[in-house]
Amino acid sequence: MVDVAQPEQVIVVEHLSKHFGGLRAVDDISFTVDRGEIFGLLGHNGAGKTTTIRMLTGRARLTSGSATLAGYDLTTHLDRIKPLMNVVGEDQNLYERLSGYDNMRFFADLYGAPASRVNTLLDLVGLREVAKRQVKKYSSGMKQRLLVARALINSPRILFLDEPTHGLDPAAARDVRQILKQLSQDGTTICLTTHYMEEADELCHRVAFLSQGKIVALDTPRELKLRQGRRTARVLLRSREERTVSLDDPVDARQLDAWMAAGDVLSIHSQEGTLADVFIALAGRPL
Amino acid sequence: MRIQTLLTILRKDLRDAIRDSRVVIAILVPLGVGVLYYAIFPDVAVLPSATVVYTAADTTTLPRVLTSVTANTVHLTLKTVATPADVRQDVANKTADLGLVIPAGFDSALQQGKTPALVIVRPASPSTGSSYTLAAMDQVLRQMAGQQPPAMMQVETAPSSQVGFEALLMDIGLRRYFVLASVVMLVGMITMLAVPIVLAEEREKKTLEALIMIASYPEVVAAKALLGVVYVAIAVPLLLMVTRVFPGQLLSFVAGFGLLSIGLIGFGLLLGSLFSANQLNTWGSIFLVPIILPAFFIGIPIPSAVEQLLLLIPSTHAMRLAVNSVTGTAIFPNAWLSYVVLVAWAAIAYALLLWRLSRRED
Repeated sequence: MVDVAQPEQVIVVEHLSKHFGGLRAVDDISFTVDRGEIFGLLGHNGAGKTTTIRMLTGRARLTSGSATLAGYDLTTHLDRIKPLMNVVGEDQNLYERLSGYDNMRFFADLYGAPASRVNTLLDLVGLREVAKRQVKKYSSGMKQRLLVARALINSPRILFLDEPTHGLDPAAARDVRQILKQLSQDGTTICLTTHYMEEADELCHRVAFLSQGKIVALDTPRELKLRQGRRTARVLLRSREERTVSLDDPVDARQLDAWMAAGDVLSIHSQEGTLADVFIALAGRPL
Repeated sequence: MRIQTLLTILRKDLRDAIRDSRVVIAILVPLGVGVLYYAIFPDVAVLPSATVVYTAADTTTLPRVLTSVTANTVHLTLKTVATPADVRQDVANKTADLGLVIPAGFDSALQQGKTPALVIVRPASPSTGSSYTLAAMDQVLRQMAGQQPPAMMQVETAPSSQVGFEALLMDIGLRRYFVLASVVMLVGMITMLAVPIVLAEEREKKTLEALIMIASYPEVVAAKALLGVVYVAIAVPLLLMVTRVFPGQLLSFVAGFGLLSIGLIGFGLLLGSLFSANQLNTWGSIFLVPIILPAFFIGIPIPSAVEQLLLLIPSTHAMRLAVNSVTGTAIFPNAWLSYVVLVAWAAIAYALLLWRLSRRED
């Protein structure tokens, strides 16, 4: 019998494909996600991110390939996987005529979670005060926070998020990111999609770039940026002159030492690339 | 299929859907129509009517005795004319259902045991009222002659594949007839509008996506079916209580409307899985017409081909069973045929629904 209590690789995807007729929405992708890791799926609209999440959450059938979540095969043991995962979809799919509390209570009952968890989570996302208000009277940001709270109702070991901070103001987005970081530290495995490269950079331990259904790059944000960025630094001198030096050139290195020794340097900025640069280089166009 | 999951979704739906104005309207409109019928129609059986035209050479008690004898069976209108020719003309022109030419000294002749001639003019196609009146003439004449009837007659209605509307209304009355038609309308609107709207809204607003993260799609659909059953189970008895229509044969009444509801819920869920909530406002109403209308047509004289067509529709049979149940008599024979048709429709509905579920990617 396979021990599925706490596998280190919580998500294992092998040669996963999804075809809609002749369209290869997801084309032979493979990756793993470790326990407590935040894994980002990045790419343009139509790159295959959402379809991948839909397959991994059991809402779309696999055309080919396999996936294992929490040690269970997705195609044969979906019923065992479902209680262990949850999802924040791209839509604000709440029961708008019901209150925030009633929405949470309904899903608590479905998952068999204690009623006390409802208020705990409403506190976590700062909605306790408006819990009795109908959801249709919530702002977009409040709804998004309620969605995050709902996705945590079953204390999922795996959490999928499709654009979790989309439409949130900066403060609310920061709060959601903070929650995700805390969940990750507590051992929840998170797989998310986002259009915000800064968010992926801040949150994700590793990211996969998808383009036309294929993974075109997969690594930590730092490695991807280093791979894409230039090993140069931009130096602003006291004379207000701006110079660029190569970090691999011994002559430039000695010149930099000399400026430093003479106290001529006002600032130094590395020329490391951003994830957005990486994305443009890989996909050929910005998000 | 987990019962706890079904009940949890059902509880949510009961709280959520009742706040949806479309669902409320789908339930309240037929309830209101039923109550309206209750208010405007009298609670009496409808008697067939007949206009009898007569001419008498002298004074006679025949019209009075005729009115007395037919008081409980025919709503009689009497009209006198001058000559036998006028009598024949009125009957021929269909301004009268029956004509009498009463000779001079008729009453005294009867009392003396003679056999005076009484000419009765009847139309080529007699109405129910004229037939009833004609049938009463023997009793009228015996009464006028001071004779006792030779026997007490008991009249029974023999089963027939066709039921006359007048005969039907005599048994059930306009009020109960139209209240039962309102029950069919109520069941139709709950099952073909309210229930599919609830399912379509889950799909449209993507709340279904969240639901199927823990429940299966068949569980969600089954919960909606239960919602329809609960609505019917509450609304139909409520309408019957308000309108004071009580089925004499409760079991066949429940069986008829139960089977109708179950079958139509299957079709409603099929619609809910195919159409958006907005489309349902149109398509649901279109599909409702052939469901509701037959309830108002059973027993009405209609062309045979149309009648045969109506016999294919489940609501026709639910209405037939309901009429039998409320009157306590088998006005519509072959109840087994009604059950077979209702079960067949339910089987077709759920076969289509299962086919639809199997094609859904979930």
